[in-house]
Amino acid sequence: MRTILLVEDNELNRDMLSRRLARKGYQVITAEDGRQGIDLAGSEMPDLILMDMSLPVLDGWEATRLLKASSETRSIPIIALTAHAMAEDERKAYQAGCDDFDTKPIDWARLLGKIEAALANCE
Amino acid sequence: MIRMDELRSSIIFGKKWLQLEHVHGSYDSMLVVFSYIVAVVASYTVLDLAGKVSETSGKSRLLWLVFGAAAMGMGIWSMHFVGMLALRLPVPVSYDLTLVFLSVLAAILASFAALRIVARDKLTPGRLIGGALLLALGISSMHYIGMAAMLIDITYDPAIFVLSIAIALAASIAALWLAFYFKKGDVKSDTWKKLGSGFIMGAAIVGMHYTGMMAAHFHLGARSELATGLRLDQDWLAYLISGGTLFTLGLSLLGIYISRRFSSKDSEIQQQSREIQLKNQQLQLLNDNLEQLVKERTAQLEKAHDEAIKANRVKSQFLANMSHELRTPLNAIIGYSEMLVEEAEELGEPTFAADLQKISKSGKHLLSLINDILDISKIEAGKMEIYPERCDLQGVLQDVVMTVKPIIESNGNRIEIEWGKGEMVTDVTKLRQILINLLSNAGKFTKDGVIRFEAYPEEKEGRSGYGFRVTDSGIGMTPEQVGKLFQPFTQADSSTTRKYGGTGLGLAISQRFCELLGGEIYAESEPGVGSCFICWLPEETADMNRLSDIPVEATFSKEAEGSSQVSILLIDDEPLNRQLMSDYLANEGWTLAFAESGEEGLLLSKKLRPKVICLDILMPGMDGWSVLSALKRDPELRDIPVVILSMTNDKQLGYTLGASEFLEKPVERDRLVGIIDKFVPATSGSGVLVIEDDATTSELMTKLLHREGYSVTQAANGRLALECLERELPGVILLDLMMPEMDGFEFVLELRKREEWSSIPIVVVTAKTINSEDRLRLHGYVKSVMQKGAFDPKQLLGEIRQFMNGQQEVG
Repeated sequence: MRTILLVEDNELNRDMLSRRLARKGYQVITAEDGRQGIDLAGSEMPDLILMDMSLPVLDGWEATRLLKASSETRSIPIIALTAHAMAEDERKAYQAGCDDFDTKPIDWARLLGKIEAALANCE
Repeated sequence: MIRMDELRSSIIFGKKWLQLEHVHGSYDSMLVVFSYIVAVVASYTVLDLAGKVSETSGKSRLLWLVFGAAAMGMGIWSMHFVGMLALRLPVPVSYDLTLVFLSVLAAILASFAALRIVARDKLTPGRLIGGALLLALGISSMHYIGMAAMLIDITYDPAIFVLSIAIALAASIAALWLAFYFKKGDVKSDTWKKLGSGFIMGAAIVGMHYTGMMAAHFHLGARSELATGLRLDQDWLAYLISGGTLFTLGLSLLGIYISRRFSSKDSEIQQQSREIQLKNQQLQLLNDNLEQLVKERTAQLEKAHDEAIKANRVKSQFLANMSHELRTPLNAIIGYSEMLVEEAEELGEPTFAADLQKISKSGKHLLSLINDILDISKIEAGKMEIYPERCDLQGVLQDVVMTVKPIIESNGNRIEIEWGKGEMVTDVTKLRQILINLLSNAGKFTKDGVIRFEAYPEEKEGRSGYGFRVTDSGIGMTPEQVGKLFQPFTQADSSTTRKYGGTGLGLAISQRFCELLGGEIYAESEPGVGSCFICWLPEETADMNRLSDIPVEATFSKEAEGSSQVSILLIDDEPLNRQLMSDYLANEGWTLAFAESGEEGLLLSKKLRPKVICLDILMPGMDGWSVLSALKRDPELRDIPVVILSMTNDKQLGYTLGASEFLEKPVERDRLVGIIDKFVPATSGSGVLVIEDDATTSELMTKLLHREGYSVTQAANGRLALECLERELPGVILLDLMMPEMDGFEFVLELRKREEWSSIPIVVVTAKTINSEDRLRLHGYVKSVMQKGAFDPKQLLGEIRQFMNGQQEVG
């Protein structure tokens, strides 16, 4: 079973996304801020990280940079999720090291496609 | 006393008694009345004249005085003379003409004196008495001289004589006082008063006269015997004199009347010109106030404008943030409802599933509205980017029609399509959005009608492109509604929003997208008939992102940083514009530097000290106005001319903030170059200095350089060349080595001594074989050495161009 780490500060979205992912057969662990996300990524070594960008404590871009800087977590694909639907945000996300990018509100089918693609890429 | 008939008989019958006979005359009543009339008219004239005289000054015053005195004197005299003629003596009386003339003179002199007094501004009692005495004296002397002129013996009764003088004095005082009193009177209202006074004065004069006559006793004697030449018919003489006098007085009254009319016109004109002057002063004052007001208003407007720009940006930012905030809960709504739809379907609860479907659909609708708001605020904040790609038109159009078909058909409409094959390079997402907007609008506002969708190749202003036409048979719009169509947040009718839904942003977004893609959109409509929307897009839209991928600005910036002679700094956030400007300006031999934001622009300005700054206004973050203000606040940067290149048309604000020039985008190349030319001094290296002693070679090189558009200065040796340098700094020096007076080596040494000369690149063109010692002497100061034998014009020009542009350092 594939494990996905969902880093999302909004409780509703976290609950909704984790339940929907679980329904699709993924094991989901959740973190509420960037710091927690980094810790969990290190300890749980998920197969994929869905990372919100606007996060408290440590934002998604910074968290991504740190994850990609560490040799342990570098290989974990990260998909950035952001409500900032600006091209600039997309560029920033890629610059930080994200492997893919999707905007909120999520298009479920599209996100699932991206998750599958990222996981397939890893193998 | 004897009765008249006795007198007559005694004259007839006793001629021998003649010399001792005492004669008594009778008065001709007609002439007496006549004399009175003359006196009244004369008085009236004087009263009238007095005012006239005091109104005037200088020569004309004297003229009026003389004229007045003559009229008045003649008036008084003729009254007197007629009065004398009215006396019928039983014997014919002759007159001594000299004395008659003297009496006239006396009257005139007296009148002159009297008028002078009356014409004064103030009439003191002393003056009145003195004047009256003079006048009385004048009148009396006139009277008694006149009497003396009669060639008849006269004796006077002393008492009555004194009485006549007293009356004369009283009449004079009254006359003077009245004349003074009335002289300033208003013409109309005082005419009657003057006439009344004239009657009184006339009576006084006549009274004096007849009293004087009463004092006289006539005797027939030696004098009457002597009466020789002048023996006139008394009646006719009297009528003649009084008629003449009346005529004269009438004339003078007429003269006064006319001159009054004129002077009243004059004074009216004066009055009017005074009023005009006053009005002018008031106008001037108003004008000054107005200028002040305009200045204040302009300042206010500028401030308001700045605030409006700021407010608009804040609004766009707010909307952008707001829509982010709105998306987050929507995310949950859509997500949960979709999840529940799946679960309900799995659990076999179709009714739940249908309702949950509605929640999900509404959420998505709400999302599309928020997306619209986000789009428009992105556009207005200048953050909308386009991603052109090559696409098959047919595929895109089919896709669009598939998407809008449900919306169109839900209103019972039918869609007709007509298009051919085609390819475009454009932002497909935006094209789709434009067309979906137009088509779903048509579907929304048409019921049971036909919607026609056409696409066709169309050339516009020399550019090939495609037209997309959406025609409906819907409710249509009035011209006013069409006018407001593309403004954000306005629908044709505010009730439209309630009836048809939508944010009213669809068309505004479509229009902005069209503009971004280099095209245009417009509408034609008629209420009740339908609407037609036409969108035109160019076949190829420039890819700004790809341009920005090319590290144009990076290369330029680097060059700029390495060079100490940056001519132009361009501050513009738009990569396309930076590319355009570099195309426009780099070929002119100017060195360019670029900044992508206002902040960077300020930093580079400080670092590079460009000769000119070209500044865009609408930039995210620090906008052009702020940059301009900051530049003008900095004492070190204040003098760098700033040329504003902007979409906005705020020349006023630009110049107020200190811009040197304001160019509206799109900027014409020639105009831009012309303006930059003004600010980048040509003396700092646009010409070539050719130092060559051989005239033929020098001419050859000059021709070559002229053909390339360089200005050329020729010098036959080093010394002359140094003189040329004093006058003008060239961009490049072409140097021969072997020359008379001062050769190339010496010239290079001289050149080193002056700091501003040592940086001028030198190309040595020589026939001399350069040995290692020569190289050492030239080392470091000469950019390049060319052998005359192997002289290649292309190579030379290439090097010159290189040095002129200052882009490459050659060791």
